Amino acid sequence: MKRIVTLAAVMALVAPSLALAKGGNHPMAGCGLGYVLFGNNDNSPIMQVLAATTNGTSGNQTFGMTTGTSGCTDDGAVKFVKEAEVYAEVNLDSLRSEMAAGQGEFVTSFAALLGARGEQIPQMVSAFQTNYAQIFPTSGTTSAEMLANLSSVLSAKA
Amino acid sequence: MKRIILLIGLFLLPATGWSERAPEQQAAVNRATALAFDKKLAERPEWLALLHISRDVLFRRRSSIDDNDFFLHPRGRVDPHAELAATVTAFVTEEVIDDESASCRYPARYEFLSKEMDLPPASACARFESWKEKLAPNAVSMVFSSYYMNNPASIYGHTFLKLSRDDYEDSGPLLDYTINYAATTNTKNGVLFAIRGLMGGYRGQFSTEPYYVKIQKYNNMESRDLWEYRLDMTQAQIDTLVKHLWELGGTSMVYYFFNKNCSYQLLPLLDVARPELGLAKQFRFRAIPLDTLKAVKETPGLVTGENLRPSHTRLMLARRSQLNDTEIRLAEAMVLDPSSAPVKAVAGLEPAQRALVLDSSFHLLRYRSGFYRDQPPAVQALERRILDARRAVPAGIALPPPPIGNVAPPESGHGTGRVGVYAGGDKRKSFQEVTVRGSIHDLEGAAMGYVEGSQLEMFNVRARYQEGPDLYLEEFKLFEIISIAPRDRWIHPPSWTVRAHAAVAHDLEKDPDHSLVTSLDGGSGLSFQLAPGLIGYAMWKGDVEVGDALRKGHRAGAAAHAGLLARAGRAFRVHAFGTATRFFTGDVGNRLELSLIPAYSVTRNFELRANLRRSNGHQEATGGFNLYW
Repeated sequence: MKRIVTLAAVMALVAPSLALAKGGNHPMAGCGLGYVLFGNNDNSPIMQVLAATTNGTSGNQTFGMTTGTSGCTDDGAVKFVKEAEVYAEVNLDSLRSEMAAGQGEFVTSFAALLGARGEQIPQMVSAFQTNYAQIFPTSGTTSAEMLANLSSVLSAKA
Repeated sequence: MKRIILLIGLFLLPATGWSERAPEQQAAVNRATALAFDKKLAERPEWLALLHISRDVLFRRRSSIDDNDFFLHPRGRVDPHAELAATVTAFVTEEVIDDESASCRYPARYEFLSKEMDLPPASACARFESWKEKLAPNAVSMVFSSYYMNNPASIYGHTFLKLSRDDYEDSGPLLDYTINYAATTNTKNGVLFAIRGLMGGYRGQFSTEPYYVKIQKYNNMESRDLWEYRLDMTQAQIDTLVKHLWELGGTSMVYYFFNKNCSYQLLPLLDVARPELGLAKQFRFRAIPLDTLKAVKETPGLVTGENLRPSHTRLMLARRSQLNDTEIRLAEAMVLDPSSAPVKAVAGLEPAQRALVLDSSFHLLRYRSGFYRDQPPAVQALERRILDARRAVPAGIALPPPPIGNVAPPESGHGTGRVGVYAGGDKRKSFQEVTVRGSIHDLEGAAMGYVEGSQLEMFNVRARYQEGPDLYLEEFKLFEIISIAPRDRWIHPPSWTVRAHAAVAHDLEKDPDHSLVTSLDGGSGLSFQLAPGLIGYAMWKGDVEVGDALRKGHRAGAAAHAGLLARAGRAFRVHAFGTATRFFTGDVGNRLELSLIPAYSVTRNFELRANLRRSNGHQEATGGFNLYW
């Protein structure tokens, strides 16, 4: 039970921006990446998403680098709060199949990204499988919906 | 005397407010620059590496970075002394104490100089520190992405760096960051990209992306293997590399396809971390990613570990090999048969076998539908039922790992450049032939480290000396790409070829030094694995030729082209092929060409080869050797 509480706490951290995402506003106004991820109705091939994530380059903006992703990245590294969202979007297909399988590299990293450590990781991955029908209610479930569903699944457990 | 030169140098500095500087500050600047001069810091490999300075194509000593924003001195690109003096001055006179200060803009330079002299304490660099914290690498790898399936043009490969994070040990390497150098371009047109790329028409920049982005792109969308090479670097060296990456930031450089490309620009970074490596200077004229990888691999002790992350296709085939015939048909039915029959049949399997069948089904569905969002409803429904059946298998069931087997790593292949010396004869006289080839691999070459049945040749020149005409050009090949990809139960790639070259048209049976014909041909067909080590193929081709040797100056036609590619062991190969061409326009007529090419690799880079060839009435035989480097 303790572990679920921990995980729920982590999810709570992610949840506010998800709630915004469901509300229809662009959750990250002024953030290019978020716009592509959620404002673009998810109908783009994944390449476009990837292209958008590459906007933020490494290093130093004093060197004349300007990007539209300042809300999303710290000088090219994806901000933590957005990290789960970006990860879920880019790896949605892999997550869909590995959550069903209850194992795999992508779900393992995802659990770690959500804050699970050590023993908690296989437990959380197994929870992905057990609650698959709620997390991915349809085959067209988007990454934002998936994260929101996951958030409520894990909060309910707590 | 030295001091006088130095003082003159100082007058040339663009140092802002030099006249306004307080006398004691000016004295500190003078002391520091004099010390830097006495210690010859500007000639140290560390400093030259930090500026990316090496000899260019014209043997001029200059930085490959042509962005003036990267340098503090207007002549910093070509003058490491001036740049050093300007940098020392900036550090000594630093007044800004936040992210905009010189020590925050150039943390790696500051680190280098602070070891050599007393500098004022570095500023607090909040932005740099938070960025560094985010990457927090404790290991560096070079990653090589190998070839697209069925696209020999991608044989050059691509390289990038990967920074591994210790604190994510539980999560595996997916959350690592990568350091990638790429041309900034909006064109999707490959030809335009190649032409502008050759001429330096683009600018390149470094970027960071999570490794999972790369994996989705290369492993899945493009189905390319990723080879990871862990590099031997201490934490201090890695920290220096990270500091230098920050210095580069958004700095852009002219992108040259041949020598200042994605893989070259990684080498100065490694040189910064370990200046004694001197990797960048090995690649002045030509930097093929495969060669830069080899240079890294062949540096003693530099690579400490190697790992293959298989492409989606390789993984799919490995998974399939764990199924028996019935199970393979079941996996196919889950993808092809929308009725409920396969679902029921799968449900009857033991859990572990059920999981393997369903994983294979999923891979096959992805392979057939591609890695794109918004799949048609029918595909979504098929995927859903595979995954619904899959989640009924408890997570605890252990599955055997996919048998990837021993895949020859790309650096195990023969060299990318080649020279050959041959002797031969035709009906008239004997001749000698010398060939030089720019790149990279042909069907008859040893396939180890490459892909069997793939060919990418560029800039292949063959010159012959034969009494009578004396010296003449036998062939200049701009490029020839061949993909002989055998059909598989699940994979149905077309085999195809395209070639642009100028060659002696021996079928005309004229003086070879007066029968050079320029041609463009290409076509597609099918190939089959007839037996282990034996591939057969057949193609239709179109052929357009122009040249003064032709009576009407041109001819165009269609051809049937077929061949056998046999391999015995790793060393011996035979390629036999024939082409029957009917020219409909211009010089109307028929041409029948036959070739038999045995090749034997004595060592990885030394190969014996013969060629028995006829073209209508012309017959010739050659034999000789090829040296790869």
